[in-house]
Amino acid sequence: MRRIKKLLISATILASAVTMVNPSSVRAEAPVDGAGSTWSQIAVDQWRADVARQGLVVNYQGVGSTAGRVAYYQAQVDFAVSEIPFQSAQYDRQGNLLADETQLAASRPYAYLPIVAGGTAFMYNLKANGQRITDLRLSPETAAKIFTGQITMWNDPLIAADNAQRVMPATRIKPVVRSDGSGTTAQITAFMAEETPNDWSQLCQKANLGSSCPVTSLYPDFPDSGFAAQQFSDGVANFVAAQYNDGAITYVEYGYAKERGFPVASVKNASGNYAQPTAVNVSVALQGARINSDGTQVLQGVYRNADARAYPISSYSYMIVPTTEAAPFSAAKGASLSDYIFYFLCAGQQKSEQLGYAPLPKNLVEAAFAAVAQIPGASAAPAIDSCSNPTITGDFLVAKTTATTVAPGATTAPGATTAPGATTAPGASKPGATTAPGVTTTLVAGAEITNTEATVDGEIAEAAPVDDVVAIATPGVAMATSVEIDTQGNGTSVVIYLLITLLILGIIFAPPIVAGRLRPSVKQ
Amino acid sequence: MKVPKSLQVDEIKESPSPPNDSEVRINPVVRRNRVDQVYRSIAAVSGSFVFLVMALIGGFLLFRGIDALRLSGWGFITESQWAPDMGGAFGIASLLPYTFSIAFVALFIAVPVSIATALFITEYAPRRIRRFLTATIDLLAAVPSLIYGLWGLFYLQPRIITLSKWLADNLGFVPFFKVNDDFGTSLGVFPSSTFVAGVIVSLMVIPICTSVMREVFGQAPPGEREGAMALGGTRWGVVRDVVLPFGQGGIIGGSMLGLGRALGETIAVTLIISPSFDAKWSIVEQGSNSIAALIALKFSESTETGISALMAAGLALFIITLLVNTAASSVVNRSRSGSATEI
Repeated sequence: MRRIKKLLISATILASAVTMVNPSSVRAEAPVDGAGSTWSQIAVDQWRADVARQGLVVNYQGVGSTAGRVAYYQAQVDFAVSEIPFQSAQYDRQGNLLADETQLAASRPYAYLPIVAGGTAFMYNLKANGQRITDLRLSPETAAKIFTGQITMWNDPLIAADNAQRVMPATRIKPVVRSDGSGTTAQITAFMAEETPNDWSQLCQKANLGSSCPVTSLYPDFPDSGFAAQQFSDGVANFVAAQYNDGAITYVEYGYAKERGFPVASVKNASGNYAQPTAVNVSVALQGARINSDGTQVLQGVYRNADARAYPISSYSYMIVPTTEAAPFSAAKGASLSDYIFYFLCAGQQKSEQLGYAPLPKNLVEAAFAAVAQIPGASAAPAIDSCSNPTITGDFLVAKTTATTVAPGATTAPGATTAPGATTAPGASKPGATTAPGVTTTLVAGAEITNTEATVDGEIAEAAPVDDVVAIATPGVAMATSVEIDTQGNGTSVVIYLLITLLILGIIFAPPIVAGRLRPSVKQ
Repeated sequence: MKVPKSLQVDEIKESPSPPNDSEVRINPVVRRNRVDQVYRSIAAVSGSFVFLVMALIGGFLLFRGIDALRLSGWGFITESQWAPDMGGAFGIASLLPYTFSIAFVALFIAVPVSIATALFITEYAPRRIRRFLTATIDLLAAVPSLIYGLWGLFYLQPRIITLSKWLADNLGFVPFFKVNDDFGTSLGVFPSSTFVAGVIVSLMVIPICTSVMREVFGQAPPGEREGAMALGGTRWGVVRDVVLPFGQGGIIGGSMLGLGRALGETIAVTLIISPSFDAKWSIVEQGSNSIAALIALKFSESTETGISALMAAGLALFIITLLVNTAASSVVNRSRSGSATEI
């Protein structure tokens, strides 16, 4: 708590210092509105809150990716966030045109830019002889066969081949999918459609959707699947974690498994290693991402990234931004939107890991900068080297061994570099920042970045990286931005819960008692 | 209570109206002046507003759903799959049976409990605790359904599946309790079933049924009651021969009101069930569904066709609820206590 307080104070001082030096950082910015993905919402909301302190108002409604895309082409919002790009023409079985999003969206030209990255983990609950298995390994093909209902037993030869280190129990596999529309579903189906098209096609046929079906946010249901479906990431994670669900496996963000103390499967990557879905491994994998000429993602390079650390099922969600000033957009809004984007691509990414995502690697940040340039009225992009994204400044991706504690001492100048305090060299710590002449303020208080060893040499990464609190306060690039850490002491939350409980009890029991006092002679 | 049940498809927020016995009836003024006429017209407009709202809801659902209905044709009634977003077929053939089976499980538990509770409150409970009991039951109706859902998900479900397993093991010859599992019945087969969802919905239905029944039972004619007593009848005799026959309309009315709520219950069902689109007899096995839950689950990520299909499903639910309530009110109106139940 004390550390956080200190942090806040120093951040405030810094913010005011920067403001004095650079008065242009306080502007009356045009508010921008957005809608879309719930998967990305946690990050989007955090970044909104961060820039709100600079007077930059960004509104966002997590209505779902599909609804977000619709709102974009119906010109209800300035930007949308989605896991999947605009979908090409879809037909029903009689050949009637259902919808052609790309055509509808053509009326309002747009560009895609990467916004949040994350890996999809396979959380499972499996016991052998009463002992929980924690070292499950899966190859992408095996995982796809599990989630298309082709493998139904844990001791299937394919699973056994991946897990030569142990004997798999003869337990029924219970795949658990999302019953509601979800970005996680979009990511896993995109992976299967790309990497294991035969298995994906099998699922489409079972679901009576023809031999091929598009990537979807709603997991297709098929008769007698033996699958279970639950609502929300919390729902599937709780369901798998339930004591009675031995043999259950689901796809969910890594953080949800970690929270419950459950293991996630190590997934085989192109180098033949089995990697865990840590933020580092996801960022490493995403370095292989390529962008199509139309801005859509080509993730083959991610799925097949040959880096030994790469976690194959990694992807990112898009922000869809307008490239013309067609209503409701305007150049003034373009300036605000680009400031927001530059904030989250750089300083904002420092919070990604803490929020349960992975920071976007440099290649994607550059691609995003290129997309921002198309926004009318956009501010000039900062130099890529002055972007305080941890994959660019620090040694986020290089650091793969041992825990490193970083000494305080990041410094900054307005409009210049800021340093997240990540340093690497085991044993040696140095202030990880550039000092620019001008205003200098000491900032980062003991940020700790802990990475446990990623799996190399085919060994299982059983010790999943410890979740750590990365407390970094950083001034932004164009704007001075204090970064606040939203952690609360346990003591405070207990008190709050108690107060809420008392309040509820009061609301429930007070009225009858009061009513009884007021009219004691009601006959019954 | 005078709001048509069709408007309460989703949730009933307010608890039933307070007992009538404390109301003082004022005789209407005979002479009509202008103020009176203005008041009458305002009242008439407000009254007809209810019909307007209902017509608008129906019209809106039809308007939004008509595209999907055109696309699917009769398949909307015969098709059990639900894949409008991916160009697949969609229909309510599996949704309707599941929706009703959850509601029936709920009523199967709620109706006997409600009758017993209402009888205890009106006939057996000491006068002093009567008011306390009434307030407590009404309070149950005020608890948001999300709370019931969360409680059901985290507390009840892990425990009640043991009962599901017992039912499957011992009464497996009944199709409702049969479980098709070649691995023997492990506990993992039973969560997220119609049965679990029905039990939780029953908790939400009980307070509504009870307050309607309590009100009607309380209105059993004192003359007949005393007559039965005078003839040497026991308390149970009075209940059996006077209160229950008189309260028949109230029992049916309360149950129907409960059915209306059970059919439309959304959040708790959404939390519990694992949506399944192949209808089955077993109520204890994992996999269930309901129209309201489907809409809540699929709405956010649906394409325009998908949303249209969901609206059409909503229209089906709307019509069914209307039919159920109309049928119920005609039954109730014929019974002796019918006028009192206000259904």
